[in-house]
Amino acid sequence: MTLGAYVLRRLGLLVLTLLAISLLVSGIFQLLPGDAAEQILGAWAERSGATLTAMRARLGLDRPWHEQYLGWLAGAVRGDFGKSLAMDVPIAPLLAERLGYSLRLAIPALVLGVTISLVLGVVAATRRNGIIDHLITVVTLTGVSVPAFVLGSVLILVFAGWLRWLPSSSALAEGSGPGYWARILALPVATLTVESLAYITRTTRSSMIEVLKTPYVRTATLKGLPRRVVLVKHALRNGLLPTVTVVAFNFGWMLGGVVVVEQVFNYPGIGSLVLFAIEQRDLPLLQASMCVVAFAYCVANLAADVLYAVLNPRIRY
Amino acid sequence: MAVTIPRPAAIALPRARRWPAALVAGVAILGTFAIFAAVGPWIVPYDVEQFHRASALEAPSHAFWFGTDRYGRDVLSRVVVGSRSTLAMAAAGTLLGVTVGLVLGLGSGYVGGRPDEALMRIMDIVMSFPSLLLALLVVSVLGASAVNAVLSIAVVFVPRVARVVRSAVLGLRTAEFVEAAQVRGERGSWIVTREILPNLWPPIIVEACVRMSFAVLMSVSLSYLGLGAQPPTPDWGLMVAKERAFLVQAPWVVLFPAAAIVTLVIGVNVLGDGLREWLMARKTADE
Amino acid sequence: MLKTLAVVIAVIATLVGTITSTPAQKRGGVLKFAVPSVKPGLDPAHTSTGDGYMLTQAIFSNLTRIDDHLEPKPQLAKSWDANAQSTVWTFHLQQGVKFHNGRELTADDVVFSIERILDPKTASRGAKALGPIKKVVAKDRYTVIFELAGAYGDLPLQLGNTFARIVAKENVDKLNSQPIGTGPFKLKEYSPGNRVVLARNPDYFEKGLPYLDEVHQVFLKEYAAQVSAIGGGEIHVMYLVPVEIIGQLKKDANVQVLEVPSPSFQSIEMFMNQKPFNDPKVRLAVKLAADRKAMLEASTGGHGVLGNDTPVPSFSRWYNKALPQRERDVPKAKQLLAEAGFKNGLDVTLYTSTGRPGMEEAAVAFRESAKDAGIRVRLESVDITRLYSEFLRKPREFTMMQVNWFGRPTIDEMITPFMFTKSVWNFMEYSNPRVDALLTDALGMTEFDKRKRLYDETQKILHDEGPWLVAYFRNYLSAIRTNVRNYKLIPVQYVELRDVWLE
Repeated sequence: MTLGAYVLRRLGLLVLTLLAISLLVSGIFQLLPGDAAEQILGAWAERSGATLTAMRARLGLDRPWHEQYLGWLAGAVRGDFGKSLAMDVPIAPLLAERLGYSLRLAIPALVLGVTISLVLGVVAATRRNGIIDHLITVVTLTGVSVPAFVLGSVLILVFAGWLRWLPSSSALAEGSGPGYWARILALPVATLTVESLAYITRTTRSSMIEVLKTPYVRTATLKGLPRRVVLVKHALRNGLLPTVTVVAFNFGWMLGGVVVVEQVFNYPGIGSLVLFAIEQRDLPLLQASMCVVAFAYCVANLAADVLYAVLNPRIRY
Repeated sequence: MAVTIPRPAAIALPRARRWPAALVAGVAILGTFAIFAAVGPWIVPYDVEQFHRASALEAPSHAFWFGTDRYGRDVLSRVVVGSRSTLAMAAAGTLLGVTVGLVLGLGSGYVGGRPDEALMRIMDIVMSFPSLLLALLVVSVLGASAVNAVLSIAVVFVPRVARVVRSAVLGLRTAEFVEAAQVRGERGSWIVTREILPNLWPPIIVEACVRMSFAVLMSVSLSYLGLGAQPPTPDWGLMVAKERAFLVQAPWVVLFPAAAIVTLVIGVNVLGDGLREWLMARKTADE
Repeated sequence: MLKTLAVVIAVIATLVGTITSTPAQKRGGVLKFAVPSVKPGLDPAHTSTGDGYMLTQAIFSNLTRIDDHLEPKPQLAKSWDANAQSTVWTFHLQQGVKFHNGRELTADDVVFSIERILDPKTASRGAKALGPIKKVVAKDRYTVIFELAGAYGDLPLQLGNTFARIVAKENVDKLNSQPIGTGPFKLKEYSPGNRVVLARNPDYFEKGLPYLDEVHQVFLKEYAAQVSAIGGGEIHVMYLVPVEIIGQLKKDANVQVLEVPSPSFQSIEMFMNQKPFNDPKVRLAVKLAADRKAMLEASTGGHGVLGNDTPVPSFSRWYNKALPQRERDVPKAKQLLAEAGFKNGLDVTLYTSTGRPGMEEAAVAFRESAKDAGIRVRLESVDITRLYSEFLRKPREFTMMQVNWFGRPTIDEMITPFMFTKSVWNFMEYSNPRVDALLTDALGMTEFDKRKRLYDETQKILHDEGPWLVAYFRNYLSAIRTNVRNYKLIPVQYVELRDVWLE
């Protein structure tokens, strides 16, 4: 199969996946106790349930499940995801805005994280089992296992509370343009970078160790080539392959899985939107946002697989 | 003269070999926490739920080595007994996820064909959710509790483990000794359990260690969102999440459980590294 | 000599002048307001949380305004009167009040807004919160008449609540996200769940107000962000201060922590028609076993007042002062349990939640104290939505519920919806014909002393045999920077910003 055909096949599967996801989410939702009407009314919903019934009618929740789902789907293929039950605003522009925020966070964090991790991983591999290697292991592991909200709180208290260099929350910064974005992204990006450092570093390190042991690389060294040339021209190309996969995984994770970091810094990304939709039992919003997250994840994985295939001719499909 | 077909060497413990330092360190750390989990309540100075109102939020002192929290509960006792909840949740979630993933991956990889394709599609769909979001959804449906947090962790792990196992099985399916067994007429399930599985243990065990560290971190995140272990259980993630407001006034309430989390994660990862080294070394020695 | 005297007099006059002159209100400035939780939506029919109330209070106006003593003051209505039986009320409107789109407000707008809330299709829980309104009519352009189903002295007070905001008919479809009202501030920017920006309404009908140019409401969930922000001056007001950070805030000279007793409470409720709480002895045993001080401390850190098992707090002018404050009495509790047939103690499940501050902490303290009386409590912490939608509505045996209730401004609302037979929020199924009669009679009266006697008797009955353990009331705590002036705490957690200024 050529690369082009492979990509097309994957894209087709992507659409099927999204369909399956929205169906799955919708189905799981029916198992969730409570619905959006109950969320809005809370304890104040009357015993007799009169207000609750009226609210459900207003929100369209009194229709049977499949009708609600198909109605949503019909709109979704046209690009109209309907209205959020809890926020009462159209979902599509809301999603676009949140996705923009998430991307602005994920891309710098990824670039920074990958750069640092690659350097650390290669260094650790080349000085294997030495002091530096162990130090890098301990530091990166500590970074990933300090809970994100602890690290985040410490960063806020130091940089916003004590030094006053940065705003305490993204909702408090004023202005626009690169200066504004730099200020609200600094702390969340720092936290995300620390979180992702460990895994990319360790993956890079182990695969580099493997590659450095191969006869191919050993021959190059024996031939008398300088260390750096061996590293860059021979080892890296194969050694970095698993890293590509991990990086793609990280990107997907940064878009949707960083709910904790988003909550700590009040950063209005997609992860927080999903959390909000679950808490508020806002099904249309949940379906739409889960699909967007899944879409981003799949696209990132697809890009990684394509890159992998391009870099490694041996596994062409 | 009879010709004997060489069979894979039996598993034997190395005798005079040096154990990798990482393995020793990992076992030591994990072992200590396991001991705490087992006998914690009997070796700690105070009852974990006892309020000492007069000494609330006191710094570490002679009476309370790790200080007290806002109700006057002893932090040391809660951290030691907390290993129970954290270790149990992480281990149970990992064990469940790895077991189910193993079974699915083995079956799918060996059988191949349409069922394999179908199962892997489903696994892909589940994997296209970031782990925390999936765990969030599962816990919201089932209700917030430690048991449900374990289930959600397992659900997240199954597809990933299944994929790893499946690729390993795919690689081994064409190995010589497997073909020899098929030629001999052995049943599929026998081949899977007696020929393939023993060769899978090394990557599985290492994978399980990696998963376990994820499990610890995921349960901490769930506690932050209020969806993991519930009060008043002493659980490290819950302690850090609930007491983080006192980070400046009374840092010990947050720092000791956080340090425990860090130590456990480092320990598990180091153990995984050590196991990988040890198992690889053993393998090359036997070749 | 005369010259020196003149100078001395001049100096003294200046000094006296400076000391006695009041500081002038400063116009301008942007007030930044932080809230620890947000619920999106600006439609007054559906807002249910403090952050929403605060915004609708700034964007809209009511007929009357509730002040910090919980008294109704004129707002859109410059005066009002009632007939002798208090069944027909007439409100005289201000003239020249403009909506943010320039149109003048008339009696028709008042009629539309009230009818909208009362309409069951709107599904507003305010339908029952305005009083027994039968009909509302516009007599002329500036006069509105309310015809009531029965005597009701609290109508002016109720018309100041969050449901009775006056809206514009043409705006109804966009009310939730692009509202226009007659209030001191217009909506400038709205990012639901994140940030709201309000700007001064230059045509506000109260001349000279508001003083502020803009108000920003930001959502700050994380403690570290709250502390940093108010300490650094990034925000000026923190609406609700979590108990955990009070210690830190008090250390800052630029921050003032404001506190006021409020009628909000967290009750432990028992199902009246289920075992074992159908036996009044068991209910009383539970109330006697609880260590109220410990529960108060656990939930509020000491920032509250003890409760006496009725929804009426001790600082309310309606409180029955003759009722002794119930104290913990473990031997009596044990004895009552034995008499009820539970010699070996009682096993119950208490449903609580971490969804509201202080709830689960108080539940833990209750569990500790109940142990001594032989009541073994198993705690089940569930999601707050499930607590309200599932567990509260299903009476079960050997089950108790912990519920978080917001305080109400009128005495009738504090009791009737919960204790009147089959009333809207009477989840515990309490039913006592005597209490029903007392509440009905008191509702129709207007004289304070006569009403108080009836409510006193009601409180005594509820104190003795009612389904609730009310151990404490939570104070309302806010924090402000010292340069915020005239910010008053209203006990039901309303926020009035029209006359606040920044130094």
